[in-house]
Amino acid sequence: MPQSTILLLFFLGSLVIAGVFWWVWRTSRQPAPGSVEPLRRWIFVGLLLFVGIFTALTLWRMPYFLYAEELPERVIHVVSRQFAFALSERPIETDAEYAAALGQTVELPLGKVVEFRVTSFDVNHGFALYSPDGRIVAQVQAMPGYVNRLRWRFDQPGEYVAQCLEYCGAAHANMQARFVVR
Amino acid sequence: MLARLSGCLIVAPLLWAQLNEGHYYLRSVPDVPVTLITGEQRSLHHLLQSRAVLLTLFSSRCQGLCSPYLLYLKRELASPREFAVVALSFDPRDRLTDVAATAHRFGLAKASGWTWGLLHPTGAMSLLSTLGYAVRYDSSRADYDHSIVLFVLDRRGNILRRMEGFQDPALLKDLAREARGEFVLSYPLPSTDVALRCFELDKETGSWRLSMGMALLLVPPIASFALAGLVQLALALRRTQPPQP
Amino acid sequence: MKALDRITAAWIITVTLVFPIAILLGILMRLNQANVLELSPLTFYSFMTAHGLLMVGIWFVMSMAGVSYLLQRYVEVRVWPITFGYVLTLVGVVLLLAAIFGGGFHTGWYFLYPLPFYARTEEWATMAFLLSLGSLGVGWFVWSLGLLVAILRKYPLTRALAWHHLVGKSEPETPPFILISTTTLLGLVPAFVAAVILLGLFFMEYLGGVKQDALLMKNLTFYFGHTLVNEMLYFGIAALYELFPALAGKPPYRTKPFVALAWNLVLVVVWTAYFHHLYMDFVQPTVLQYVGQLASWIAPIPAIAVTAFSVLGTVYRSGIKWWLAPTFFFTGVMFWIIGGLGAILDAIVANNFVLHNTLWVPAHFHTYNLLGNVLFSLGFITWFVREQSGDDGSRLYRPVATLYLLGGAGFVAAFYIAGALSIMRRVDKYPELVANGGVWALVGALFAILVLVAVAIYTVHVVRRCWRVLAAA
Ligand code: HEM
Ligand SMILES: [Cu+2]
Ligand SMILES: [Cu+2]
Repeated sequence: MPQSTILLLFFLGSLVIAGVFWWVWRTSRQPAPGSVEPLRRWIFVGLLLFVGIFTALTLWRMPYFLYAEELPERVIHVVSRQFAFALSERPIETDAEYAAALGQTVELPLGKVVEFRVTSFDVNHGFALYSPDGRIVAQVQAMPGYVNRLRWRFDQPGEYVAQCLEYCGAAHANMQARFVVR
Repeated sequence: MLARLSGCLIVAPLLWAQLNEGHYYLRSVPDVPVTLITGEQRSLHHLLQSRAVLLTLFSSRCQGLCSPYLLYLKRELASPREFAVVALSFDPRDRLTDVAATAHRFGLAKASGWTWGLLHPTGAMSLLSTLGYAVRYDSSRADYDHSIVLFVLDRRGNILRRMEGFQDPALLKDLAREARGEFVLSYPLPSTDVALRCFELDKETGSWRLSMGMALLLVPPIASFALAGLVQLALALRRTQPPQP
Repeated sequence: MKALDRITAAWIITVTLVFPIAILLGILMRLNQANVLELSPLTFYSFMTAHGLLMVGIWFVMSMAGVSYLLQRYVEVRVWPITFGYVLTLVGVVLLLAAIFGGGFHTGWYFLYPLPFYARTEEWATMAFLLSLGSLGVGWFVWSLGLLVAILRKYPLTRALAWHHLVGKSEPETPPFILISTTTLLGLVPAFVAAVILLGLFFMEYLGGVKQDALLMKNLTFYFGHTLVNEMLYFGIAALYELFPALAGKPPYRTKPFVALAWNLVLVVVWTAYFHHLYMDFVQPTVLQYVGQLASWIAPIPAIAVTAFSVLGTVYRSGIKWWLAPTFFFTGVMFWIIGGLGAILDAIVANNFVLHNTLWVPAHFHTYNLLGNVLFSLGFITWFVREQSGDDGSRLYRPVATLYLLGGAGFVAAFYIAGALSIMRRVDKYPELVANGGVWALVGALFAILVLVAVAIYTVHVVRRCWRVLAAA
C-alpha cells in the first residue's frame, strides 16, 4: 500500500471510531432503558472478517522475497558506518576499500532488478531509499555481522537518496548517500 | 582424505578469503566453443541454457591436485538433478580421448548431471582471464600450476559464486543451493569473536541454522511460567503446614 | 489502609511533577526540528533519551501504583514491595539523569547494541546508565512479584487466570481486575528476564570486552522494551475495569468466557508481538516475521474489542455524570483503539517496508500512550484524589479536558501526516530531503503546548491534594 492510502485508511477508520464514541456519548445524556448487548455478535463477526480479510490480503505480500525468482542486473555492496554509506559494485571488506568507495558515484539502470547487499562496520543503521520526490520506496536494516539482501526495481529515473533510518548517533540525521537511476 | 583434511584446516581463514569472490559477481563469461566427449560441438552458453551450472577446470595430465579435487567433487555432489556439473579441460595438450579417459577413470563419463569436455585453445585464454583462473606452465615439471576453483554460473552466463580450493563440504552445498536458484535473504558474516551466535553453519546442508543465541529467546517465557508455578507451589506448601503453636 | 494511601500519594506526586517536565523536553525537541530553536545534536538526543525513558518510566510505575492500590479491594496488599520499588526507582532516575545530563548519554531510550559503545559519551555514563536500568529492573521486579504473591495467596493460579470461565463455568467468579492484573504481571516477567540477560551481555562486553551478536541483542532489547510498554497499557485497562462501571453507576463488570479468552490470549501472544520491531532485519528468521504480523494483530484486537464493547455498553443511555475521571477513561479507550489502528496498519510487513522508523511510529505509540494509557492513569489519579479529598476537580473539567484532548489529537495527527510523508523519526534537524518536516514539527509543538498547559493546571490540583494525604501522617 502506498503511504497515502495507509493514511487515508487510518483517517477514515479514526473518524468511524470517533463517530461511534461520540454517538454513544450523546445517548448517555438522556438515561433510557436499552442495551447494546444484541450488537455484540455482529461486532465480533465484523471484527473477525476485518482481521481475516486484512491478513489474507497482506500476509503474502511480504517484501522479503521480492524478485527472488529473478537474477539481479547489478549488485551494489553497501557498507554503513558512522556517519556515511559506502556504495560500490565491488565488495567492501576493509577500511581502505570503504574509504575508496565513499567518493564513488553509482549509477543504476531503470526498470531492472538491482540487489543491495547491506551491512555495517559499527552500529545498526537503516538503509532507506528515497525516490526523487522524497518518498521512501524500500528499506532494510544494516546490522553489524550480517549481510542483508534487498532487491528492488526502480521505475522512476532521477537522483535517489539513501538515508539512514536507524538512530546511530549524533550525526544520524545527515547520514546519506546519493545515486542516480537512469 | 586429503580433501577432508584440507577442508578442516583451511576453512576458517578461507571463509574470509572467499568473500573476495564478490569481485567476480555477475561478470559474464565469454561464449567459447567446447567439444564434449560425446563428440558434440557446443558453445559454453548453450550448456547453461537448461540449468545453472557448477563449472570446474582441469587437465588430464595433471600430477597435482586435479585428481583429488575431482574425487572430492564426485563425493560431495554425487549426481545432481537441479543443476549440472561441467568439467572442462583447459590443457592444450589434451585430446578428446584424454578427457574421455579421465571421465571414465572417475566413473563419471555417463553419470547423470555431469558433462565433460575440452576447451579450444582459441577461446580458452579469454575464458580463463574472466574467471580469474591462474594457469602457468612449469617447464621443469612439464606440468601446469593452476588454480582449483569451482564456479556457479547462471543461465545468462554470469558468475554467481566462485569458490577456491578444497572447502568444507558444507560450503559446497551452499554453492549447490545457489546454483539451484535459491534466494538466500540474508547471511551472517563468519566471524567467530561473538559470545552467543544466533546462527551456526550447518556442516550437513551448507545452510545456516539457528543456534544458541536464538534459543536464548525461549528463556524469558519459560521463566515466566516457571516463576508462576514456583510461587504457586511455595504458597500451597505453606498452606498445608500445620499452624505454629 | 493509611500506608497504602501514602505510598500511592507519593507516586502520584512524583509522576505528575515529572510529567510536565518530560512534556517540555518533547516540545523543545519538536521546536528544534521546526528550526525555532537551535539545540546541538548532543543536547537534542540527550533530551530524546531522557524524554523517552522518563515517560515510559513514570507511566509504567503509575499504572503499577494504580493496580497496587486497587488490589486491596480483593486481597491483602503488603506495602513494603511498593516502597522498595519507589526507593529503587528514585535511585534509578537519579543515576539516569546523571548519565544523560552529566555524562552525555544519548543513545535513545532503547540504547540499541552496540550504540552505547560507539556513542561519544563519558565512559562512566554508560556504566551509570546500565546500573540505573539494573536498579529500576530490580525495584520493579520485586514490586510486581509482591503483587503476584498477594494475588496467588487468595486465588490459585488457574483461578486467577479464569481458566474455569474459559470452559463456561461462572463460579467461583474471578473478577476481571484480578484476571487482567494477573495476566499482566505474568506477562511482565519475560520482559524482566530479557532485561537481565541483556544487561548481563552488555556488562560482558563492557567489562570483559566480549562482543555480542547484534541480532540477539536487538531481539532482547525489544523483548524487554516492547513488552514493558505493552503491559503497562494493560495495567491501565485493569484500573479501568475496576473503576469505570462504578463511575457510571452500573454494576461491576463480570468475567465472561470471551473476556477470559481475550486476556489469556494476550498473556502469551504479547511475547511474540515484539517481532514487529525487527521486520526490516532481513536476517531475522522469516517465520518469526510471519508470527510477528499475526501476533501484532492478535495481541491487541481481542483486548480492545472486549474493553471497547464493555465501555460503550456501560455508557450507552446511562445518564452517566461526566467529570474528569470517566472522561479520561472513555476518551482513553477511544484513542487506544485509534492508536491500535495506526499500530496494526504499521504491523503489516508490506506497510512497514515504507513506514518503519518514520514518524508514523511515534505517532501511534503517542496515541495510545499520551491519549490512552496516560489517560487511564489520570483517570485513576483523579478518582483517587476525590476519594481522599472529596474534590472532583469540577472547575478544571472543561479547560483541562478540552486542552488536553484537543492538543493531544493535534499533536499526534502532525506525527501521522509526517510519517506518511516519509519524514523520519529521531532526527534533530530534518535534512532537505524531507523539506516540510519542519512545518509539521511546528504544528505538533503548538498543539503540544496546549497539552502542557492542561497538564500544568492539573498537576497543581493533584499535587496539592496528594500532599495533604502525605502530610496527614
Ligand atoms: C505532549 C506530550 C508529548 C510530547 C510533546 C512528546 C514529544 C516527543 C517527541 C518530539 C519525540 C521525538 C520524536 C522523534 O523521533 O522525532 C518523542 C519521542 C518519544 N516519546 Fe514523547 N511526547 C509526549 C508524550 C509522551 C508520552 C506520554 C510518552 C510515553 C508514555 C512518550 C514516550 C516517548 C518515547 C518512548 C519516545 C521515543 C524516544 C526515542 O526515540 O528514544 N511521549 N516524544
Ligand atoms: Cu546510520
Ligand atoms: Cu543513523
